[in-house]
Amino acid sequence: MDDLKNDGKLKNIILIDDDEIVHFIFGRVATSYNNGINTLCFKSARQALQHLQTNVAQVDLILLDINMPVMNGWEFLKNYQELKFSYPVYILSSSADSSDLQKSTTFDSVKGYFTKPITLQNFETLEKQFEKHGLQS
Amino acid sequence: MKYNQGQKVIDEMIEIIHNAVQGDTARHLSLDEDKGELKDLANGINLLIQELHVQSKQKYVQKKSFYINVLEQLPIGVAVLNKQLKYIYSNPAYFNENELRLDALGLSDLDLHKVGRISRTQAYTRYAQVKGVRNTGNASSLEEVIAEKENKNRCFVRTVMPLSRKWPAKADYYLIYVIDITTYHNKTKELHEDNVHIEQTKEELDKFLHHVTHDLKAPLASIEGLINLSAHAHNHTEIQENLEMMRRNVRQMEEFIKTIMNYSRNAMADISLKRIDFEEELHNVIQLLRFGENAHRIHFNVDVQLKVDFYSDPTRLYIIFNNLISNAIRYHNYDQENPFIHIIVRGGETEASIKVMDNGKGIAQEHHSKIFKSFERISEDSKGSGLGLYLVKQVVQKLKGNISFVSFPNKGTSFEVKIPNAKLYYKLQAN
Repeated sequence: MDDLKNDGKLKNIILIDDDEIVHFIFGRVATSYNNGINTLCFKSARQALQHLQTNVAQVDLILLDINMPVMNGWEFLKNYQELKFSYPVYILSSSADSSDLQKSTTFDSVKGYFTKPITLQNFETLEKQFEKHGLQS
Repeated sequence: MKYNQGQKVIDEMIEIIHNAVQGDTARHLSLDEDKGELKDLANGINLLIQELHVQSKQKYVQKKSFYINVLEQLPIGVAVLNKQLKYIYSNPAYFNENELRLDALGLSDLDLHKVGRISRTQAYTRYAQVKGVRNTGNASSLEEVIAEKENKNRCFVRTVMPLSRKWPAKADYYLIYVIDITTYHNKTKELHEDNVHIEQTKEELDKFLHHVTHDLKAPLASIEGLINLSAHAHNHTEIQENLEMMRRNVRQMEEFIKTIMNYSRNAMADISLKRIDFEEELHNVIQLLRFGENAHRIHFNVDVQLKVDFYSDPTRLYIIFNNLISNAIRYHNYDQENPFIHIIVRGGETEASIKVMDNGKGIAQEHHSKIFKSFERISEDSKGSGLGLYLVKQVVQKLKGNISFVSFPNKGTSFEVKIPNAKLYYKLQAN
């Protein structure tokens, strides 16, 4: 099983969150889940958009915080969809508010919603959904 | 006298008596010679009818004056228009002043506009209303707002109904009655404004609560994540690293809770006035903030000049100074030779102006309108709650002052707070 997981398709994950401590926790949990995962963290939604536009990036999925200064998660999603990006996005927020959850479903690119802190179980879910998604397409 | 002739006279008498009993006292019997011996009787009947006539006229006058009296004293405006839509009667409440009332008789509403008594809109609205009643035969009501001096409006409900002597013929007259609903109208308006205000406050409160819970949860979630990591940590260094991050989160929470407490204190606590020693207050704030990262490189310059003693609330002034100066430090530009923060205070009899100027990063024009809004963070490097300047604005408002700023990106920012000198209030309080 472990070998199978290590050979899974989930390789490159982007995190967008203004809090560097969240970057740190994410990096640690990702490594302990699978040492082969590449993580790329952005402190602002603007930087992330810039990166996506200028780099032919290897991206499997994006984890996105909502409450960020200047450009928040919702504004990022609006721009992201207008620019026709299609990598699956998962919300990673400290808010378990139902209104936020509801709002996230109005964006086609959002495939799931996690509350912080991110855990190993979250990575397992991501991997399963990513494999399923990969088989479908 | 022949029998037939006598019968004719008697028939005539019966008819006239009958009419008189019915109320028609205008006709009398003729006292011709041909009545013969009945002449005296006819004379007697005429006298009786005359007496009846006088009595009924008195009764009529009495009745009329009774009804007029009621109408004149009625606090509801009443007027009557004739078929040509001209006033033929109005009570004092209708025109408010007697003179106006009397010289309006014989005029229509359009005439009243021509002589400058009522506005054009008023005249034409009334005219349309009465015409509507004339065409449909149905009563109609409308609200009339009359602007009076000092921006006060009076508000009336004006009802016009058709009157006819023989129902259901076309109207001969139009009865108008006007009820003053100004008090009711004002109360309703006040109530509506209160409601809007409550609704806004509720919305703001909901938004506030949403943000506060979120901002309290965020560092807690990180702490939980760090605990999870520590549970599986391989060595002591890793744990030390996690603890250090937890400490940062705890500080962030503490800072946030302090801001919320200041916010609620500002809203709830009474203003307590003291003489302000600006130099000392500013010195205390700077001493505490100067130990932050990089802050020691900043050159502080405090220049206070007061013409008279200045009185205000020191706790609230502290919140203002602390937020403005810590922002200036946090968003300073450290890639330069001489980062400075100048604080200039000028005070007089009525107010003091406090300027906090820096040559820091500055604020982009597009963000200027968001500066004082709650939970708006306009810097990507922001580690704050987005409440600092919102709180400052609330505090300044509480002190009946105002706050403004000028800022240019990469050049610097200058905030100016003007606070009234509460010297007089202080003296009054002391007595």
